[in-house]
Amino acid sequence: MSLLLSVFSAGLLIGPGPVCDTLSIPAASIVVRKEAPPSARVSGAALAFCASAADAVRTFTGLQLKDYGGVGGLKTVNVRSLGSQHVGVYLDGIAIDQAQNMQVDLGRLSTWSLREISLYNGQKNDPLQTAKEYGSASALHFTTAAPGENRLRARVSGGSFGSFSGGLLLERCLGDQWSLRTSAEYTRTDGNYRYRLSGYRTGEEGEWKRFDSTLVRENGDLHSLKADAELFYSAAFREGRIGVRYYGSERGFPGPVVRRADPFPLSADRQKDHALSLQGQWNFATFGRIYELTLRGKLSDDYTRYETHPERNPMALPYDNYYRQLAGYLSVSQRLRLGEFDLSLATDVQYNRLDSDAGQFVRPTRLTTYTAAALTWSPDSFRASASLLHTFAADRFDREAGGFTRENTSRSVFSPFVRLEYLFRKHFSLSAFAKRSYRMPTFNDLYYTFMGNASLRPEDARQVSAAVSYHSGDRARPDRPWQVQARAEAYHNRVLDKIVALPTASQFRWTMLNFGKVDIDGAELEGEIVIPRPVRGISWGVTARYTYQRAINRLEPYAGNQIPYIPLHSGTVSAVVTWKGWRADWTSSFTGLRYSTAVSTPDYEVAPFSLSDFRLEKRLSVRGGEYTFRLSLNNVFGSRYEVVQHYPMPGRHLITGVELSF
Amino acid sequence: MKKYTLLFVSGLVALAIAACSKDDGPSKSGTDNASTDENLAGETVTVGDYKKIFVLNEGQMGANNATLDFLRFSDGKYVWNAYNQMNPELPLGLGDVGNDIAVTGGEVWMVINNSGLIEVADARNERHIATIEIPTPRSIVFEGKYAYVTSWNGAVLAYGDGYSVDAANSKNPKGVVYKIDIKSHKVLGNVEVGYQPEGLAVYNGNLYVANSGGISSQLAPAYAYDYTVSIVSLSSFKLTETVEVAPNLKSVFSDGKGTIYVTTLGNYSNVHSGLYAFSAAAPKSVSRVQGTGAIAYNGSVAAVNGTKVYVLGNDTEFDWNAKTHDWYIWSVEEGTVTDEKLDLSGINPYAAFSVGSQLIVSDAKDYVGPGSVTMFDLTRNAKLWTVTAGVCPGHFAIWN
Repeated sequence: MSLLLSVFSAGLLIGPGPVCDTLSIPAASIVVRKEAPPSARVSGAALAFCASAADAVRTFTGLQLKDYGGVGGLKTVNVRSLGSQHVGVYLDGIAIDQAQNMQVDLGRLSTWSLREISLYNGQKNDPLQTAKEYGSASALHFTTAAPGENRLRARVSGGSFGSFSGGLLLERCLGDQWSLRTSAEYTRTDGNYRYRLSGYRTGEEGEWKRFDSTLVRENGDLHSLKADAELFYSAAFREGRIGVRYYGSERGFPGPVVRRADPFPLSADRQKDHALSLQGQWNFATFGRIYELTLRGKLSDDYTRYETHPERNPMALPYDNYYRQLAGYLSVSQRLRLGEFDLSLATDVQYNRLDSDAGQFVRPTRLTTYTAAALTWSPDSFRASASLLHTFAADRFDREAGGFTRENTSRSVFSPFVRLEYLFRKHFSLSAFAKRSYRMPTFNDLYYTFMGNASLRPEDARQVSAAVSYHSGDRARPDRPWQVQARAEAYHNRVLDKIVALPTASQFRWTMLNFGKVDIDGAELEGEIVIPRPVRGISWGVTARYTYQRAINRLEPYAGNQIPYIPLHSGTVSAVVTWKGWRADWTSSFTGLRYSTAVSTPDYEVAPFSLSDFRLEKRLSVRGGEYTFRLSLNNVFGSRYEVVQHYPMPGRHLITGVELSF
Repeated sequence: MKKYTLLFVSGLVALAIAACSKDDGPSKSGTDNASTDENLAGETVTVGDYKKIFVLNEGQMGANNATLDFLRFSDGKYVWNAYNQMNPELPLGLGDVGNDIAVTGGEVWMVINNSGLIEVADARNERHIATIEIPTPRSIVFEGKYAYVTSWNGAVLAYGDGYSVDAANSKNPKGVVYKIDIKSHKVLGNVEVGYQPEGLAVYNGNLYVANSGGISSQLAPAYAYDYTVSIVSLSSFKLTETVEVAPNLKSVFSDGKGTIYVTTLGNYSNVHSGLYAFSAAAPKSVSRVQGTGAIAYNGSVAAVNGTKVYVLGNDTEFDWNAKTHDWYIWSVEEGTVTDEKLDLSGINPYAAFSVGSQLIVSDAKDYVGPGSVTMFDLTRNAKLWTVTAGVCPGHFAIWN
């Protein structure tokens, strides 16, 4: 019996290429039977279209993308209204760590070498996952795969707003057991897109007056370079990989659109980044895979420098500081299979350090240990899993000043998780999970000069969720060429001890406090129909998704209102058609009314919007090589919209590109 | 700050408000005022000497949501967001971070810090009259034919469209006071004062400017607040004297009788906030206004009324847990402190403004959502009304 091999993404329409001539079976395919399916997934051609990882995940159910606009604008995700810091972002199973503010910028991640992006509510149920993952409220996984064949891929693309991207990717099989992938990619944009301010307001005596002006976003340019190399080893019962990655960028921040006296620019802020990481893992199985062990490790050095350039913008507060994060991470995961039982034990150790030349900075370091045990019992048609994680974090910093006292610098929490799944009538499944997870206070929360509060407790997120799903089967039969799948899920979440910024006894001095409380009731509906095998050369698929989120602030003075930036209703509809090497893709999404503050009154409304993107691809095989031509027309109807208030998003824009693979 | 001559202070204003308001505040719709005797003949008389109290809601930096509210005395209505409603053709409205407001000659001048401008509107109907571009302006005062505005200035050398910046000095420049002709709305010049000047006041031909150093304190190498009052002679428009007070100055008030009061915010770690005073005749002898022993003033909430300065404070500004604090109000006259014993329960004071025997106290709530404005009658020690305002109601002005 196949357990919910979901085909959420129409990416399955194009199958994988031939594999390297090795004996091994990738670890991922072995655990499929044991793994709960992701709540959303994108892979293959649908993923290749996306300019960045942020683009790829925006249609996921329950996920809110916060986007400040343009290629260089910060892009973070918030799943089920819990806040972006509760989302664990994993690259090949290892968390992308951001100790300063725990906001992972998805705009930095390239989709090129990715095989899949998938979102798991609660947690992924991989018995060999890291201990840390048992502590995320939800997990967004970016997965790359070992090279399948000897291949060189080159691509260039360009389009609106001075955007250009070019890259090379080389995959080599080095004998039966070793393979190598290396890639480099350069991206630039001017980011000088036009936006329109217009509207109607009530004037004197109730008449309507109109203003309408078109402006250009300035200081939104970006240059970035990504480079990586990764070596893979694969043999029977053993596999490993080790890779080095670099990301560097230089960009402007255009800032919010506010009224500004004509002579002065809105912003001259610039940021430089250099991030280098070394990441590896080793998987070892013995006794016919009864026992498995995975070792993972990572070293990273992440440097950011932010300058406001007051010599160019006299309105700017002078600021020129760097922040440098150093991190080391080691994880050991073990798994023991005993018939219907599957036992996991995982231990991680992580070290973080933050340096800065900012005034009176206390240079914090943190040592965190994660210890988790998980048990899965899976008799036929039923599966129960439970896990418990203990997280312990101890901080050190240079000196006591202001609110930084040495009391309460260590934090210890337990995160339990339970999931039940039941399959019935062959095609249906019921599942439910409950989880309590925490997010540790970030270095910014604790030690930001003049604002930090070293005695914060971790923020507490509790989730209860239940789903019913239907899947018609993963193999099309001659008499039934289509596959149908549907899912309905309802959940209740509660966030306690939410870390918020509040003024102290002196209102000129703010601090971070455990003060907030939010109740979230949500529902997700999803349906998909796919014809995976061509009928008269044509195959197609349609997916519809709807998300309802009622996220109510329980914090006075505005208790009872929807929390900022969470729409009550949102949804997407996408369709894909393929025919003789052509592929056309249409996605429309709707984001309902939101509020920019904790008060749900018309003064603070952020307008609802709908957005449509069209993508077209053509593959041509020419003498052993393959050309792929791509065209993306984004925001087809030129919707004017803002995801974050006062950060206008680009109107209609076009990107075209070609990829050569041989 | 303009000294308001309040002719019919307490009684008439209280009457005007009481006559037009319900228990929960000024009425919010016209129908509330409907009365069966409204058609009876009579003669219109002026109640009090004011027409409106304007409330400038600061808004949030980067959120473009400064708004102008007013309380109209003729019908007791509190009107929200008047400026943006009355000027619908202005695409981005009032801008953000309203930092000061003042009225002169039927014009209301609004100092909008992060937008880099002073917006001048007609006090009768809040219609736009002029925009004066000033880099990071902070506070305003009128004297004679001129307006004086403190500005952090960002090392702007030449002013105007073709402005230039002293690049070498741009990381930690001193602030200036701009001089503006009230009638023509033209900038006439500026004079350099201390670091990040905030409040200013006029007494006897001199301008007293409170320098904060709020930005300098974050910058290498000194990481130090400014602690001085700059005295500028209005006749020569030159800096004549610098008075050392205490770190991080905020507001400055003149009692009109030769005493200059200065509030300081302290350094937030070991120097407390406080109220200081010095004599205009002998500015070098600065003293802290004592009177309540160990209790530190929170110098951020203060108002002047004629010869009296009101200061609201609590027991400490060093409490990092921000639990609820009891707030006190002290009135200071000729160096003597009186505890006014105002019942501020339910209010976390953000700003204060004195009107006759009434005191307006605002509450910024969570600083991003709507705040509130409450009026107290000091003579009766009673809360008169509370009304919802815009985001961070922080500055007030009377049109009389």
